[in-house]
Amino acid sequence: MQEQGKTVIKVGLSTCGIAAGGNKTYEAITAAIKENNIDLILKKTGCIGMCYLEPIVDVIAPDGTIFSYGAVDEDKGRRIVSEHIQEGRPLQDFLINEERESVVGSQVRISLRNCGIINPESLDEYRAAGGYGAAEKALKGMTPEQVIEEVLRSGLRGRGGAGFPTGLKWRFTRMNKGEQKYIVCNADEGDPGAFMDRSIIEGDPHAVIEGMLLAGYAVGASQGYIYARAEYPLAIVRLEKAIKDAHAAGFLGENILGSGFKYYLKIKKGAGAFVCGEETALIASLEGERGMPRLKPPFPAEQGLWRKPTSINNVETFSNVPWIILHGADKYAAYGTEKSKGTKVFALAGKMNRGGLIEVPMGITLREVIFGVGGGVRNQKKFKGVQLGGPSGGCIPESLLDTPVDYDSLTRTGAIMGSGGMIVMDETTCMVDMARYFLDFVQKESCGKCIHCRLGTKRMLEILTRMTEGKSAPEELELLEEIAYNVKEGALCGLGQTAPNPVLTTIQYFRDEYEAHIFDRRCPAKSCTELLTYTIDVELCNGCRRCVKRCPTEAISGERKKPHVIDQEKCIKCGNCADACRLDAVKVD
Amino acid sequence: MSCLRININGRELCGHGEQTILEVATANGIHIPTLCFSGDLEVYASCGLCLVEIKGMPRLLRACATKISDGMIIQTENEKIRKARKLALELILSDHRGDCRAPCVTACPANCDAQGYVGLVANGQYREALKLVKEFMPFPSSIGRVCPAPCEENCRRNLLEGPVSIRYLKRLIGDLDMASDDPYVPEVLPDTGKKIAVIGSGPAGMTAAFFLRRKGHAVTVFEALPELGGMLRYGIPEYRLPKKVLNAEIQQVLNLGVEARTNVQLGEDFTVDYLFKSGYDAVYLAIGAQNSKAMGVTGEDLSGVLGGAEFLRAVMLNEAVELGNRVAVIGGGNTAMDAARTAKRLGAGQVMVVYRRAREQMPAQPIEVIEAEEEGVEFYLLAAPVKIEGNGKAEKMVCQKMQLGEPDASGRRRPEPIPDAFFTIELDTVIAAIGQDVDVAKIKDDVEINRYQTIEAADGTFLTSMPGVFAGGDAVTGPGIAIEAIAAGKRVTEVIDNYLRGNKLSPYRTYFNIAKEGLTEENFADKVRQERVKMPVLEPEVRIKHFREIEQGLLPEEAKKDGTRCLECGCFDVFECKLRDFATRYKAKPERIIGEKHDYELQTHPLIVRDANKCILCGLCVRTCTEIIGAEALGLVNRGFDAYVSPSLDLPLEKTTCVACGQCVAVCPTGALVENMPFDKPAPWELTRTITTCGYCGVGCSMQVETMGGRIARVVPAQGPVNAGVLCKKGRFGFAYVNSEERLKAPLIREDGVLKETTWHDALLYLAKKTKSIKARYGGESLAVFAAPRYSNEESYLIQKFARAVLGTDNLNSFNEPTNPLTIQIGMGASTNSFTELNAADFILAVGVDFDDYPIAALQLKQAVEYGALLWLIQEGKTELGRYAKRRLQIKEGANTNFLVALLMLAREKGLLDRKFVEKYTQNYEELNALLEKRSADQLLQGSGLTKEDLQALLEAYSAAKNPLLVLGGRNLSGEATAQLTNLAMMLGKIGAPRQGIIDLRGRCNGQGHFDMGVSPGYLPGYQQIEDAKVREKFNRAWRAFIPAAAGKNVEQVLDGLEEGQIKGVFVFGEDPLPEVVEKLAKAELLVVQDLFLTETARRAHVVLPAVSFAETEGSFINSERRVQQVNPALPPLTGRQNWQVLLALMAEMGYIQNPASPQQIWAEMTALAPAFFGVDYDTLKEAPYWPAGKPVCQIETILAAVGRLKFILPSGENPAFIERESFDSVGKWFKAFLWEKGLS
Repeated sequence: MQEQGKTVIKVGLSTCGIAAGGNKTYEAITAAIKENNIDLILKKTGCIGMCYLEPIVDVIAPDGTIFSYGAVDEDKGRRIVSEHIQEGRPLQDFLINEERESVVGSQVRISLRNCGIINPESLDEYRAAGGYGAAEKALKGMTPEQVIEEVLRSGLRGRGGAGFPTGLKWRFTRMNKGEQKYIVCNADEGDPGAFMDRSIIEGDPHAVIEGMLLAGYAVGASQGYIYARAEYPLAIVRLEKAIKDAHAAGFLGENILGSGFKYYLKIKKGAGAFVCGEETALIASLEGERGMPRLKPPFPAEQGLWRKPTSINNVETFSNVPWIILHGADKYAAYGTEKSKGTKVFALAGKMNRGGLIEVPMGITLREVIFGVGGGVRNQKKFKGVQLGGPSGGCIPESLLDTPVDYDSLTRTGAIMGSGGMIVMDETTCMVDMARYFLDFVQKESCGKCIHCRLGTKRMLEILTRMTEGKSAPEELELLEEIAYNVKEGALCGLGQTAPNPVLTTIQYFRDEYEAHIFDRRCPAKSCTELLTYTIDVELCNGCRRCVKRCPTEAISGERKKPHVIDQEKCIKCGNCADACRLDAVKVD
Repeated sequence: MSCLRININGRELCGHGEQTILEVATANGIHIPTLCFSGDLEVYASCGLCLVEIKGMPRLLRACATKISDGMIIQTENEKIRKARKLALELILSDHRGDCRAPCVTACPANCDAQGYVGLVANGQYREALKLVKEFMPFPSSIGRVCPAPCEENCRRNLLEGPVSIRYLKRLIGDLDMASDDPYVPEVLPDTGKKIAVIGSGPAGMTAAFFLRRKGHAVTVFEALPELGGMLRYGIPEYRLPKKVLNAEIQQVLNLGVEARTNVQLGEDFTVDYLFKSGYDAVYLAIGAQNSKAMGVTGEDLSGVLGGAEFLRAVMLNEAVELGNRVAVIGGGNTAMDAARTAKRLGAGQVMVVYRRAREQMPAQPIEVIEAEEEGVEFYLLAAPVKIEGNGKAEKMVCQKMQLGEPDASGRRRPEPIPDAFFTIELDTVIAAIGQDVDVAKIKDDVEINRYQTIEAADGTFLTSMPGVFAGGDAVTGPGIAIEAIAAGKRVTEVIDNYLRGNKLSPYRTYFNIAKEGLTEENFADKVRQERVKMPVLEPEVRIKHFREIEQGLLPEEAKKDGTRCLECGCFDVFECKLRDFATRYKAKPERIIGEKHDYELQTHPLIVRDANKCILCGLCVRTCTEIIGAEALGLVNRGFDAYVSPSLDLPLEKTTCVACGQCVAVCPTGALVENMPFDKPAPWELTRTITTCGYCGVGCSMQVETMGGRIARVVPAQGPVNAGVLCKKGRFGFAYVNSEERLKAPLIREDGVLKETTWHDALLYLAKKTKSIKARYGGESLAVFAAPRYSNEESYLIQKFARAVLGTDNLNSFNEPTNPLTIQIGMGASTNSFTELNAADFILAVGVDFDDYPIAALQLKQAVEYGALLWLIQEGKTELGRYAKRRLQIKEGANTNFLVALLMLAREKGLLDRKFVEKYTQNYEELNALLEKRSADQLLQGSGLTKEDLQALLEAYSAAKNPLLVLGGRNLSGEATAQLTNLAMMLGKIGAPRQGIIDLRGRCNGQGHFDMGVSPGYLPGYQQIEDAKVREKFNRAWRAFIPAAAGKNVEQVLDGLEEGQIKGVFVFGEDPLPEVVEKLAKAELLVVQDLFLTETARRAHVVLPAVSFAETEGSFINSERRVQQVNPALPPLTGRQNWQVLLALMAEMGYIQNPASPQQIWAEMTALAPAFFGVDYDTLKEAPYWPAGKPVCQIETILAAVGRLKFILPSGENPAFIERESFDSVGKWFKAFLWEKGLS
């Protein structure tokens, strides 16, 4: 809601903005405005998705013209006030309007429709943007069955990763008998490099609440729980405020909008166990038990929280729902492919030029995402692969970059859509080490219940570690695959069943890299330090002693102005010498 | 429920929709392995072993968690599944640290259970040790003398001061047995009609003969030489193995019925074909390797050059051997040492051993070399003979000097000639002892000979190229040590036995094994250092003069002490470990998966040992503790690879809410949780199992008592009708008193004021005389009998018969179980309803039911709550049950029964009286009513801690219930309280129908049967009143006796009678009352006590008779719900006599001769006299029937038949409601002390 005739300044204060120093920028701007008694509106907003340019400050002129500034520190903030606001001279050098246009403009923002636009802490702004319109429409004019039908028709599938049709899940939950039913929002996002859900909550908490409200109405639940990881403090604060405001405004509580429907929401903070993102473990944790998965079936829709029918969906899924109800299933289904409708939010990370959050229609290719919206690989390095779906996902090589982004096409590559994490790797990334990294993560996050996950991932990790250290036996690649396949089949829950995916896909697409580690004791990406040898090219070395000074173990010797030598016994492969050398005389193999 | 058709492994089966694949498979006898599933718990699905293949499914699925659906086609075993299970097992085992078997056992070629017999020796159980050894070999004395003892080489004690003297111990237990009056004779199974010929009587042949005979086959041993024993006889000199010892052990084999023919040579006197033609079904070739290898040097054919084996054989056969003065023995093995030392003893002046390698490489046992040296044998090492010279006779030998080169295939450094370095030895005789060959000439036409010139026999099955002909020992492997031949002889037995039974030929079983690695002295830092025992030996100068045995043997106490040095390596769960079983079955090879292994410290609880290194995190212990027991003492800690099971807050288990029920141990599939066995030196033994009924409280749990050598090693829960695989700490761990050294073993008679041991005969004679004299002087009523309610039905019956028919007294009481008011109220002192009805109850009022007293009954209450019952408690103290209660009414300590009277009043006031019921079925209500009218509820409730509202709420819930049951904690409740609660049930008409009535818990294992059998004044067996002339008439006729016509004295009256001098003689069976009572008892002219221990009461007695425990008893108990359950002896009676035998003997000594001669007959006599027990025959007791008439519920008609009309008992009011009931018997007292001592009380 913009008051007529006033300039508005918005500061991006999601976690990414804050991490980039946004709070200081905000304070500096506040002080400058106060000092100069300027009459304008200063507000916070969420993340627009261009996290690599945070803190982002938007100046919106009374005529609606937007001036976007990127990487605004305190000084720049003050200059925006003095030069742009007071003197009317926008700081041309820092404007990012063009880039914003190219990044945001190429997206279709449904889930992220309000993120970075409205003040997430303001119910009014949410409503001004059409918020709770869907709730009104549904509660006043639709039966629960019609709501389910609408969602079903929209083709919305679970955005948490597995892609189960949301409407169907609701229908099952509605059909299953039980006086008490529950809606659970899975906000326990834990994949490394994934921050879609956090950004949505931080940027548009009411969208999630409204989505849950619609779900509750649809399945006949009067109670919803949001299981949010405690590491998302800002998200939780904003959610708490939003719930309170929604309650006060009558969107939660008894007799909502006069429909007779009652609905309450509670937040449960998860202690940061990755496995609690698995729905049955999440339910166990909600119940106060140790967060360990339970076997399915029964599915939560039959016996979920406290054995009652429960529909559990993730943040992004919920945030789509109000839009669908408000604009109609057809409009949503117009986006995407036949089996994967709508849009998907991705968190772009890794060696990308533009790391951040984007939302694109299903069906565009990976290449378009990475090289189009994402701006390609950083530092002109060569693209090597992209890890999709976090530790549960798989790694896709360059040859498959034209794969369309939809559930089924991605599954065929051995990767998965997952929750939307995309980590791009360039030629300097060792695929064995990458697989090792993800296994290390899953191993630490395994709950320890089933032996395949507890011991299988551990043994795989140990084999991979030996490979990266050049200590593995030739038969271990086969053993690694055997364990991987067995863990995939034998693990109890999704965490374990998908844990081998990074290993299996990298073996599938980068087998030569594994073989180089095992048989040649060589790391082609020159990343596994244990496998590297640093030598000095006598032709190139001029004996400047730069490297000698930087070497922490005194492994380099040689007279001044004469070629130096590295003592391999002493060398710890830190790479300092190579960095120090100006003549590229230090060779790494 | 409709049937779903499924197909498992080609079998069409039927199941219902709620069943899982595992359940249907199990129900149809199809085994699917699982380590984490239990039918009693929710599906957990962690182990991943139960994976099966379902047609149409790309992935394997868990059978434990997959519900069946119609038309499902399932495979439970195929290559894919086996591979998946194998890998799962390998993953589990990759982090499983322990020793399945101790290294001594795995090192032994015969896998002889060294840890087992060492442990038994350490406990002083020599005979048990011998029995155990005989499961592995027939010759412990001989092998204990000659074995190089690989077990000792591998003993972990080598990391400390040297190995346990395993070989000496084996020798000792063999020697003790041989010297004993009744040497152990192993059981021989009934004849199978199959005949086996064993060719060769060496260790391989005789061992096979021994074990084949034990399996019931007819065995004939054929031996070419004049006597049996093979190399043990003809290859080992007398000074190492006296032939007297060998003869005795061979004779023990022959005594089993093994036939032997000597001086018959295969290939000359008979052939293999001939054997089959003459009716043998199988042949075992164990012909050994008898011929010395040739040295391959010139001059070898000169006279004076002998083979080592031939030389030793000639000496043994007393053939003339011309040695001369100088003897050179070639070779470095045991045969060379034997030859050299024998030559020395035969008088050779100079005996030289010539060996081509250095001393360290000599294959002979070091002690042999040392002793040879001590005896003056000279050693020419690094020397190889190249030529023997002489004029028709060996006179000198040229040797080449050698040096050591690179290691060869055997790992020893290869000897290489030093060029041109020669020396010459002057000599008279050369004995070549460089190895032996099989004499293949005799058999090569029958069976295939391989390139090593030994018999070709298949690995594992020992089958030769000829069907039905097996071979083993040196003849197959080439020369080895005796224990290797024994191993072959034992293993082939399994194969041949299988073969003769017509089964498919299969290799002998080998088991999966893991061993701890990388142990150092530090791992045993806590072990007390103790030097190895020294074997006394003859001095060299003495022994060299003759062939007498050098080693003199250990004393039993020396052996026992050395046995305690055992470090207890092996796993105590080895015989039951499911993980090992599956690892064996799926041929797991965990060594291919290397990686980090956890190394946790052992956690020791007084009763339970936890070894997290063996934990597979199946969660069974945690889940059982939480879901079944409700103690929640165990939980999971950490994530991922580092997850482990731990008591709450990582406290020691005994500091948590653990109730020490041991259920976690019972469900653990591996050795991660084991019992702390009450032995000085426990070892993993295969225990003898007996299913019986617990000897503690009256719930009547079934248990499996496991014994070793006359002692209880452990008790585990059995699947009984009451307890379904669960036990409490009393039953599970409270058994060590049975093993106690303090048990009375012989009768005692007081002489000159002191109790002295005597014989049964003298004790009973004395007793009979004294008793008769008192009876003659003062009459039967001057005698009184007290009997503990832990005596079996049969014993109790005999006790009351003894009192009434023989002593002529009805003064029959117990200090532990006072007479029950139910006897008066409903005509029998017993519950009207059964435990199983609890699960259908909608309301349960439990009064004074303490969890600790009746844990298993408490678990049933907990379960009933889970099934939907509302549980109300009336308690004085705290109880764990409070957690499950809907409401708890807390009574102030010491409050009297007035609050119950108030309850009756309020029931009446509220109009809850069931008039119809009361009028139709009861008597005395008017009196009760009149009394209630006069009282005020407020007054009655004073000091009780309860309010009127409490009681009103209770009455509301009780009266509204359709299926209400009262559960009374009999042990903690006064008779008065029981009576008023029964009154309440009667007033409300809630008694005498299914799920409506009273369950009165008995504190003692046979507290119920005790009354039922008539151990109470006035009531004969089956609650027949002694004052009823007709009843009396029946008993008098049956017993041929005159029983008292009036009810006898109760406890107080007897004690008063003692004070006043009317009671002159008292018999106390198994009770030990308060000191002041004992004081009174001691005033009797005759005090007779039967007990397990010398109790305080027994100390004051004139005659003390030893009793046996429940574990030695045969008979039956009756539990609190009127179930008659079998008691089976797990041990022979320590005293030589069962209690009932003592009673019969005592009665006979008193002149009362009677028929019954077994528990069965006693029971039959009782049931014939007691209508309540009609139809409850002894042979039906296996099914634990209820009395009367096998019905779990006493319907109103049954009660009326017993009592005419139900009687209200008028409240006397002022007695306390709850009583702190002390245990007045030695077993209860022992358990209390046991808990205290273990720090668990």
